[in-house]
Amino acid sequence: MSIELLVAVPILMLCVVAIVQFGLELAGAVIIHQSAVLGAGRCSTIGRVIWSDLDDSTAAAVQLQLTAVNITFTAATDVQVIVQERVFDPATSYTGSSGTWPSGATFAAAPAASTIPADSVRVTVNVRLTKVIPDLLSGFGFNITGDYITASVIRPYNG
Amino acid sequence: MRIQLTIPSSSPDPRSGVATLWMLLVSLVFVACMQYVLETGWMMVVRAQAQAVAESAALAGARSWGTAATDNAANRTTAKTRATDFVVNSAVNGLTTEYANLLMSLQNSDNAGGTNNNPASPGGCPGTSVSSNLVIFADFDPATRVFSPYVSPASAGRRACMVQFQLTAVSPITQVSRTFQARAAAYWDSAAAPNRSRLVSVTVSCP
Repeated sequence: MSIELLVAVPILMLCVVAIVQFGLELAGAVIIHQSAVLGAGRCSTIGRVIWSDLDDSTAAAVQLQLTAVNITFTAATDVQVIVQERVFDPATSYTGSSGTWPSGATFAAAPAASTIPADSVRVTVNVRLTKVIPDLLSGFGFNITGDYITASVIRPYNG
Repeated sequence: MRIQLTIPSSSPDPRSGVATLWMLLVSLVFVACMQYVLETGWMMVVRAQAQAVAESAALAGARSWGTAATDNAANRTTAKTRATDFVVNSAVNGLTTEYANLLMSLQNSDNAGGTNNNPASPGGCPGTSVSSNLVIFADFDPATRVFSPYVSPASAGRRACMVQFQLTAVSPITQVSRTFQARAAAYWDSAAAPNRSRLVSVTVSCP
């Protein structure tokens, strides 16, 4: 009986912790998506401007949402905000600008710009998983270091 | 007379295997719980994404119609196409297939001969239920928030767009097909500086 329990309990604990961790991860995905919505909303009202004018206010909108739910970050390796805009018709040719905030954040490549409708902006927010959820499964050999949650939102220019 | 019962040491412990059996049964419950948690979380994510898509489409449609120099059928078709583009180019689970499947029905909601290019009979008053995929234009009263699809012409400051759709996507967790509904309405605010489209909640009015 004791030996069986020694085998069974860690497996059951793994199940419980996995349920909690995946639940938190998906809840975090909704929050990251919401921050991308706010960032895209902010970005879309600025209009057709060059990237250097876009980054601060967009990043501020994203940060505001993230810090409101206690997702804080200090390094460029924790969060990445990618802004891509298409400022030219037809939609088959991408003419626009893009940029990444903070400038040192390079842990995820920018998504393809080909699906952005004309006169629109896409904001992609990538956040390291370790900043969103506790690494509860590391003791069982599952490490989330290096993984991240991503969310993209496209908004038409609106200003 | 005293009888002493002894169990031979070679006989199995009657409780042997209980923990294994218990673990197997409880594991089934845990797997079901895990599926429930993951499925619910996935549905929350897709629902939030679908709502953002509907909002972007409504904003784009309202802007395109609101900025049209002339309110005619061709410009309304262009504006509806603009709204549709935002929906059909979106992705769920990293795939655009599910949203692309909405293209035909959204295009069908553009009726060049109808009032505000709206379908003559889109299965009842459009916007009152999310039972069909529609891009609806309407006259919108910012004061009362009444959205009237069959009032025309709408002045530049009262042009509004509602986008609604039903998205069917297969859950990557349970492989079950799920349906998500999203709806958003926006109007072109020509009084704002600069002019812009705004998301609004509406009350739909039909004749």
